[in-house]
Amino acid sequence: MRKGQYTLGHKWVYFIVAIFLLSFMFLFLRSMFQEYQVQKTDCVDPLLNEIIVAKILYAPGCFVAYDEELGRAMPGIIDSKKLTQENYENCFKYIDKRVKITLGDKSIGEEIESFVTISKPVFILQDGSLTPASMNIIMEATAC
Amino acid sequence: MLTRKGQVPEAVEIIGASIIIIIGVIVLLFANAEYQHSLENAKEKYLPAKSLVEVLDVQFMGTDLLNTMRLQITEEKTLGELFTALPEESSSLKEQGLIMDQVSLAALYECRESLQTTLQNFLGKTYGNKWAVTLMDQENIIFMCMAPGAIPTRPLSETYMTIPSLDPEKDLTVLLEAYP
Repeated sequence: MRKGQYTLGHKWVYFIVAIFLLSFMFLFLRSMFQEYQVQKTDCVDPLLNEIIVAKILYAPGCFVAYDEELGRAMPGIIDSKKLTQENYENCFKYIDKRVKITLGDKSIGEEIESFVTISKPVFILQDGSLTPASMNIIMEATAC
Repeated sequence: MLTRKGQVPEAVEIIGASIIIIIGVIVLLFANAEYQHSLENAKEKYLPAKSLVEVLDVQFMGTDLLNTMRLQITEEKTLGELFTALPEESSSLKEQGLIMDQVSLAALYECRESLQTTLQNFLGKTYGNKWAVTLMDQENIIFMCMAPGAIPTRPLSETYMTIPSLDPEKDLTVLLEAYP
């Protein structure tokens, strides 16, 4: 061997390959976890569905009856006067999902092709009296 | 290459290490596949996707129970008021044909067909025939009404509320259960 010459031994080659493989595995696992996290946080459809149902059942600004004397909303009791298309549009202005609500012979909202339907047992407040009914909430099917 | 006595040649070391890495990767892949398989099995067992009861339905069960308590059962009484009168006024409710002595289960009373039909008409569209309403005090199950044909099992979801009793020292608990 000449002076100053450097020899790359077999062990060195092995370590270079091992470092390359380990780096590759590390990067692969990191991207896998990152993708999983993105998938988990990216899909907000179930959350959106919950917000829609909660707005329909609990929000006095939407369809739920409001007791003026007590100063409180009555969850699960739908005021028939409030169940209008105009109210629907104001209520779901900021929700980027189409919804259709059917209660008795009344139907408001938008037409949907691919949908999921849930039924909720509610009461309708009409002329001061409560009538039991089943409300169908039809929402666009979840994409994720 | 020269090796000392007892020393393994480098080529053998490298081949050995490569084989161990390959075996390790295969074992990890098998472990991952097994984990996914058992996870799917568990999901199938405990999260019945084909259940009539949608996940969203059971997320608002509290409101459903509250509305069930508001149901007008007789001219004077809602279901909540009827429950409040149990077990003190049970004989009067039996005479009205709403409840009867329990036969098969551990509860003291069960619903008659008319009350069961009223509840089924109200809850059936959401929970199918997979619901049960139970009234309990601290020690006993006082009353139970199940959907026609329902088989009591581990509930998919349940919710409860506390209501007053005619006995001022006692509170009653009403439980709504949805079966898978």
